[in-house]
Amino acid sequence: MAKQTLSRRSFIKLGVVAGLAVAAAATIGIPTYEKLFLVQIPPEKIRAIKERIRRGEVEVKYTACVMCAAECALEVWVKDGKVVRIYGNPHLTYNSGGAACAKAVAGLQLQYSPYRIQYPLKRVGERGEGKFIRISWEQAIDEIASKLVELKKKYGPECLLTDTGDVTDRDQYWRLTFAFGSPNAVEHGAICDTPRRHGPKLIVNGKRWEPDILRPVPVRMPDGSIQWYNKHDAKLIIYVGWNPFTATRIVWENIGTVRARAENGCKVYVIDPGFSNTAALADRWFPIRPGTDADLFAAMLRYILEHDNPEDPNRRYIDHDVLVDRYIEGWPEFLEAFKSWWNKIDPATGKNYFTLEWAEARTGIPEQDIEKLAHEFGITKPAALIWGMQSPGHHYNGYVASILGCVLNIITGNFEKPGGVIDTEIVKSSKGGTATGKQFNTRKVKRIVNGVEVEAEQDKLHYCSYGDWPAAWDDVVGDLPRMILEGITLNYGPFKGHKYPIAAYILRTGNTLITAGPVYRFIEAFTAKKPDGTYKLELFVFIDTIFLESALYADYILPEASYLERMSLSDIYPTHPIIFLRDAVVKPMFEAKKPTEIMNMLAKKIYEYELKEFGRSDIDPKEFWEKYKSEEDFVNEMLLVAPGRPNAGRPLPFPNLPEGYVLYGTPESLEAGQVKIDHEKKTVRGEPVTVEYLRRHYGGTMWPMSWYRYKVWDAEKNDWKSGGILTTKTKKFELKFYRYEGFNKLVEGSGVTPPSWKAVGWEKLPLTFYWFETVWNPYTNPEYAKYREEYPFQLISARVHHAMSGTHMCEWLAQTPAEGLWVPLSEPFELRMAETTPGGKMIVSTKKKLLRNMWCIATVQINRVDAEKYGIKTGDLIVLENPLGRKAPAKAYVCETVRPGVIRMGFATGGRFSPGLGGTYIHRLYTPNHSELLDYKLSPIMGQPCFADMIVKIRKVTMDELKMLIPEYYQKEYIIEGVGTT
Amino acid sequence: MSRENEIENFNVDKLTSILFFRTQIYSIIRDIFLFEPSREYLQKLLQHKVLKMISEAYPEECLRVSSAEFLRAVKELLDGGDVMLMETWSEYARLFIGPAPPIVLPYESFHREIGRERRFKGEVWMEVKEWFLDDGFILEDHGVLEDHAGIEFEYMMLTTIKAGELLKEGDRDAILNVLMRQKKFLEEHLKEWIPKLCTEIEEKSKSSFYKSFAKFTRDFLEEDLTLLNELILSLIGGGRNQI
Repeated sequence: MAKQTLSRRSFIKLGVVAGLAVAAAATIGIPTYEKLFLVQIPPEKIRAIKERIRRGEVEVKYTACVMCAAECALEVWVKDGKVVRIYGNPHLTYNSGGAACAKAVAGLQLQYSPYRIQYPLKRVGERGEGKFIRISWEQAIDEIASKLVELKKKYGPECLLTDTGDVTDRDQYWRLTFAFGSPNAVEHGAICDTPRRHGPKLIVNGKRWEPDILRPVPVRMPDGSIQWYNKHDAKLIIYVGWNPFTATRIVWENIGTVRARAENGCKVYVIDPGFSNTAALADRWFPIRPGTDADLFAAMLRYILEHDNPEDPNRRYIDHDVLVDRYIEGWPEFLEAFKSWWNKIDPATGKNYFTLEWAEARTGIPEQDIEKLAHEFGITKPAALIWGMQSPGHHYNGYVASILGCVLNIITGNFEKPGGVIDTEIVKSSKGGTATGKQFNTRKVKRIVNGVEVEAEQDKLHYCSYGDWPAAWDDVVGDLPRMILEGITLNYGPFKGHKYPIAAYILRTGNTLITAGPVYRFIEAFTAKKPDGTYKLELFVFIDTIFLESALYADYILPEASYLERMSLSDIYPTHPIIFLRDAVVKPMFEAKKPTEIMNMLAKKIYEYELKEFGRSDIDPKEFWEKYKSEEDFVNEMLLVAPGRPNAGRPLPFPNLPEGYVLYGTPESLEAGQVKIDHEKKTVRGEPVTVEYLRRHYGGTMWPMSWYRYKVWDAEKNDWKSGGILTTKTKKFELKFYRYEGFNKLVEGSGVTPPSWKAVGWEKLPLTFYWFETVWNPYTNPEYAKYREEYPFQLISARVHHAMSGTHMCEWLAQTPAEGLWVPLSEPFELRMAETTPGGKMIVSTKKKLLRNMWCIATVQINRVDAEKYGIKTGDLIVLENPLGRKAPAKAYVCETVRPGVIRMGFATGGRFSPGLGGTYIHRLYTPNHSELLDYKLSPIMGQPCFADMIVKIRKVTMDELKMLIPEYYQKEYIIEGVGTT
Repeated sequence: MSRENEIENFNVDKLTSILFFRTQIYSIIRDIFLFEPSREYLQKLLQHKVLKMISEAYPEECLRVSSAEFLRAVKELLDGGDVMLMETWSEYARLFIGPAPPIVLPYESFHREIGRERRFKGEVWMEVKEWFLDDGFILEDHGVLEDHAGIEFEYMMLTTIKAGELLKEGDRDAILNVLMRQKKFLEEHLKEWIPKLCTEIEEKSKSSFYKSFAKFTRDFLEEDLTLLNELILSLIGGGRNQI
């Protein structure tokens, strides 16, 4: 061996690369550990690729956005397998007028973000520690499937709860869950705004009521042609707790509000504790006290009923052509029940219910303003009363407001009137069909309950419908912590008495830890252990493209293909049937997989394990990988039910086809009469819509708009009848809540009243108008009056749509201030960020030192009058504390744009402890997480977390004081070592 | 002069040795950037003749010391049992993959300062991709991108092997071309970011395995540029410049 004193040249000269001579004499070879990644290709292929690069060929493709729930149609430019531009789809102008908003364009930052989950990961530390190792897909699928089958054997397949979060292309996961044997598949709607949708569901079997301001819309003309109808008809829109300009995602609503005002002189009133961006545009802002929307609606209704006079043009509030038995079921009973409150005295105010003075005392809006509102709403035709997600959707008693809101719109004749109100759920195109797999829930299954074998349908095992929430048709996720800790006991149905745990939780594109209720409760549940030291929740799988807080507690993290890498159908809120294709425009990066692939892989492995374990399997290969060879196969099946809406209304969408029949198929085939008509089922089937068809039509298609779709012409009787889009039991507007009857029967049969019903004094659900108070409101609910002095602020949250999880890591987007909730009041920090050079020619990466107050963070709005009392200025650090002792830090933004006595903050904008959220993570220690201040109180009936029902006290603090006051907030710090600045 | 005579001047055996040496080291570096080390792989490393030789006898102290340190870390890891191995795998994820933002993303796009986009598939990625294409390589879809450190080292490894094959054919110009390309890639790409990447790994990693690996990689890269220069000079000059 050569000595160390040798020079390099001598070293090599002497061939002292010892032992190598032998090897060298053989071959240099390929000594690597694993297979190679780079491969050689023939020169002609190289030439072809280089030529393509030289030409800079761009492929133009079409897809649908996911940066918010508007899911607008996009045009995407792809160059060399990379997305280089995102534009709005000029051919499908429905939701964006062909433009792409800032969120859509920021999708590039998400697609190529360094924070993307790249590979399957397995937890190796404790839950919450953030320690993971990379594993292969084969290992991940194998272990997950094996565990699922093990748990199925132990507890039954119903122990699996699949939560598919907020993105709408979820059907594959539901299908797998149902086929596995669990009926427990839920989605974001369970925690979104169930009270808000309650009235529409009861009354029209719908969901979301929006003003009819989507323009232009394709409409059948008298000459038979279809033309764009571009005229605005709305004359009055009242937005109650609804903020299209910042918080909601229905872009056409923003555009339409402005256009209706400008082109048709439409008045816009905003009723909101905060002076939102929408309020800034409006003709008037009414700063209502939080949690009193129902009170306002009740007073408006009473006023309208008491003052309506069909003979007086200035008092003709009610449309008596609609308020008839032909269209409305249960009105006399509803009226009677509503009026039964009129003579009662409200203990909170000492005034008669639903009078104007009562409403002033409750809402804080002057009596004369309420009167004016009621009168204007009644007299203006058409008008739209729209209520929101944050309110009443997030209030314990939001159902009442929702029901009253529906009634107000219906009896004034505004429902389905041009310029009035549309229920977007019952007019939009259907999708999903058998692909979703709900048919598996009708399988007969057996369980031993109290020693007796019981056989019934699989869906009778549902954790809510037959558990503690029998009427929660949107499922309950807010109660998941308790369910994990205590398990499920079925109280209703054939399996009454059956118990099972929630032992497996698959969470996909959701973040329940932050968005479904008190954070500490979810952490407690996810980390709870059994006496043997294993986790109660035995399997937790997180599937997403981005890394969120919930993933910290998962056992496995699976990288899902981003929205630009997978195919599905977008879910949008139009006023007539429209459908967009979400197309895979580029291949998945790293090892991300599409939902169809994940579904098939898991299904196959579960099948194998079940055969081994049970000798049979609930998974049928013909229903998974043998049927769906590609995601296109899956989406084509989902499209078979499009549009699935009746040929109803005026103008009749397809005069050549039977009125009232449900339509399926492409608009062209329906138009041409290339259809099969089934007079028994009353359906018309044209050529099915397919992926290929949508691609040929720039990624989407639409069917004609119409109005009055609840009316169908009865040719036999030569008169109108109710029906069309109304798929309620009676095919009418149901003010007798028939929907509740089934639940009441279930509960009666069992003799077990759900705890949440008992909480509001019900043994059964009332079948007509009802009233109950919200919680944590010292102004309306006497139970909480004692807190009024010590906790003088009502705490509400508002949505800042460009500062939600999927957008936090898009630096430019996240830097738009909003409404005093998202304001540049940051502490100094460092961040590597992308910015353009002068002239915008290039994007450069720069590590920036941001000085104080240069970066948007979550803040809280406080009225100037209140701030002065506490000596608080903008930028001061304060601590908020609720009566339960929960605290959160925040920086104050002092303004006049929030009602005194209210603290308003963004939802999920602060206190975010996932390192995957860029700058927001860096500022977590002094920004508020609204969910930290929640009570574990869920609204009755639907189990909605009451995000808008809380009161707090505040005071100024220093950073050091804060660390003493909320030690757990800082200790847990959700430490991921080594991560600070990016 | 005949082709055979040309090659005689090269001293084929010596050149082959050097190329083999370089291939082996590039292969190790490539492996460790791309994969978590298995127990079997660590054992191979410990018995690796080239690594051993460098650690005992390489004339340049830096590389000698860092390779020795690296081997010690490998031994320590092997002796540490399964627990330590698992910690190392979790450290690999923490450093390079996630789920939290990786401490040191091993992609050139993220480490070039001026006029570069800190996103996947940026300008630098395209440059590297085209570079590979010019040499006849494309990346098959294996869950990484072209400007991943491991892939760039794989490129160096494969082109060194190519040089070895050309050596057998005796084509001096072709070998020179390959080596010049390597030098250029080293200077314009690898040297522009790998040393910084390695420094970051050394500073931020909790694992002596990765710390020592980073030091070793940085030292080897420095050394390889010198080796390459000498190789090229000797091929150009022949005679008194021959190895």
